[in-house]
Amino acid sequence: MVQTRLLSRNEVQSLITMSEVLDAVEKTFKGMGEGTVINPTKVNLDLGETAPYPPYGGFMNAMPAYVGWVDTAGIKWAGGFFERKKHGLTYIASLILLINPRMGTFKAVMDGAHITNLRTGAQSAIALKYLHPDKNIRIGLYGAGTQGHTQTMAISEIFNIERLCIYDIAPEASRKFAEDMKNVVQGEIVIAKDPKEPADADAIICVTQSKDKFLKNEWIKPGTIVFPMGSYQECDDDFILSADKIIVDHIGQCLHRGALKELCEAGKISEHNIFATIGEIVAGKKEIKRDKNERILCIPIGTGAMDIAVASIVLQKAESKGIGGIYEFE
Amino acid sequence: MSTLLLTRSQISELVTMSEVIDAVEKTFKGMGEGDVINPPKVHLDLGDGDSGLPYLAGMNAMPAYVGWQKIAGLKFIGGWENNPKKGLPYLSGMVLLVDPQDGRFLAVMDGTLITNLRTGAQASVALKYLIRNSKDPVIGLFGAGAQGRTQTLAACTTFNVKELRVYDVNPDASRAFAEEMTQKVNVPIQIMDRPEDVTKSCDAVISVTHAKNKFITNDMIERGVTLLPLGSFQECADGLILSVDKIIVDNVEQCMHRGALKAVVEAGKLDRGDIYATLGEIVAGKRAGRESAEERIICVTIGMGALDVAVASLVYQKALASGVGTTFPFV
Repeated sequence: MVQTRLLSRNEVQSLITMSEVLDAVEKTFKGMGEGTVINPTKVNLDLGETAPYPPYGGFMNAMPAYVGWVDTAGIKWAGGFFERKKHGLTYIASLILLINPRMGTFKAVMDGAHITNLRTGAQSAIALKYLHPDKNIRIGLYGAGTQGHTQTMAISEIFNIERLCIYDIAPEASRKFAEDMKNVVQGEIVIAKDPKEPADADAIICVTQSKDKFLKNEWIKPGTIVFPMGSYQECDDDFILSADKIIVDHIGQCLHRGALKELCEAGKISEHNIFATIGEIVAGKKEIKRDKNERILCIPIGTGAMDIAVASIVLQKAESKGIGGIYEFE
Repeated sequence: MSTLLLTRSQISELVTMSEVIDAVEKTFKGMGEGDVINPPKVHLDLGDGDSGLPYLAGMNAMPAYVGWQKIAGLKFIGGWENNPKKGLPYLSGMVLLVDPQDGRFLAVMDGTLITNLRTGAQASVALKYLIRNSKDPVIGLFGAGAQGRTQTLAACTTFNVKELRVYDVNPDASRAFAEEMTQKVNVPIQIMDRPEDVTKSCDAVISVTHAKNKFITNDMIERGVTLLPLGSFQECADGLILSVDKIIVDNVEQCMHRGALKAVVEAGKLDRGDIYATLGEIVAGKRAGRESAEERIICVTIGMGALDVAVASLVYQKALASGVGTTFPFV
């Protein structure tokens, strides 16, 4: 009988810390650069997010991957549904399955929402570790939701955040964020009144659901690193087209979703405009010699490999502590 | 918020083959009518391609939305070439179901039995529309494994089969198959020594093998026969594929890159224009199926996630109604 471990969101939460996630994400980026990670482009099931049918206004992304350093295969199936908020649920619904690649047995089924939030924060923090060699950093953050929190938590583990300027279309969300993060951010947290304010920073992080390209080219100073993490369109085209370097986590995926999608479809951006992947930089295959005045656009849109890696660490810890349910599917 | 968990043996007790055939037929109809969403499957190469991994395996992620059931789901399944040698099943898979209104995970269940059942059902739904003799057909079968069993079960559920002829490269497999299935389906089963004996005077030929050697040749398939090559590799000779009267597929895009047609497509001998229709169009009545008793028809159904999701949804509904399964609160 094959035993599959089942883990709930609370159990996952109790089993993993941000510093463990950062370590797993860094090793997985390295594996991507070295070629020991298999990560096909995610496949989207459109449930009305953009298509006229079916009419549910949601989507589900299937993200299978194999991660060499944990020798585990798996899939995350995750999606977003506006309807969920009405029921007091998180926007994202997510489940992760882990598989022993030697014989295909299912090792675990676990909630994926917490892992997604942590690894998304960790992805930009690890990219910053290689792009911003200084220990001190000033952060401009757009979006004070869950992702804004985990981005801040991840960056504060690696850097001394001297100043963090937050903007959200809902001012009360910014206030709550400032309260929640006052013991996480080493320096001061400033609530911006004008969306222009956070752009004066070493790194700008966008975690919004905006589609209106609010981040203007002229706001972004020389030397700034910009992370548009949303699935839609947060940066204006002029910035994307004039950035000195574009760095992504997964080329196929970044050209078809998120910040680069429209320009790619219009034929203005292609694979040739990508300077490097984060994996190549972490693995030391591409050297990044930074000119102080360069503006860098970095897009870690999120890969299944990160989820599988973090979920594997969660499973190892669950096994050693005897946490979770056990079920025999076959 | 609870998710229902179902084991393989629970699934086997919850649905009958005739219910599976019904769900599969309705889903094909939905494909023809356009209320099924089935993106191309995504493949994770664990050594069955050029990834360099040593596991001789690969997995497919197959998401779909099925309109007539208003359900979304995903099958994640793979085949491990070395498993049978170790006494383990070749296939390993799971199906997840989601409420498309709000993304709640409704169920997580074993996916291998569902795969075998629906693969049998998809072939017999195809035959229902394409076979020349639906009264008392003679059916030939290549491959006496797990798929051969569910194919037999499905064909004998749909038709009053006069005789079933089976061939397997391993004669022991054929004998074990005949012994087991004769009792289950109450149909005469003949074990054949040579592949060409299977196809002689048949109405339909079903092939569920791992063959890559194109062993079904043009001269083996007589006038009026419907041929269903269901293997993932190469069972049919190029000359046969290129000379049949109609080629019907479950999904055009998928069939250009996988299964029976792949090699002739890559050689530039066949393209989309040579596909007569999809099975969904035929079931939905948008295109005619068989139009004469003389036609030689090949129907290639590689398998679509929508069928798995539809069958899993049926299983889920029946489990709810009869209180079968365990729940787990993932959230």
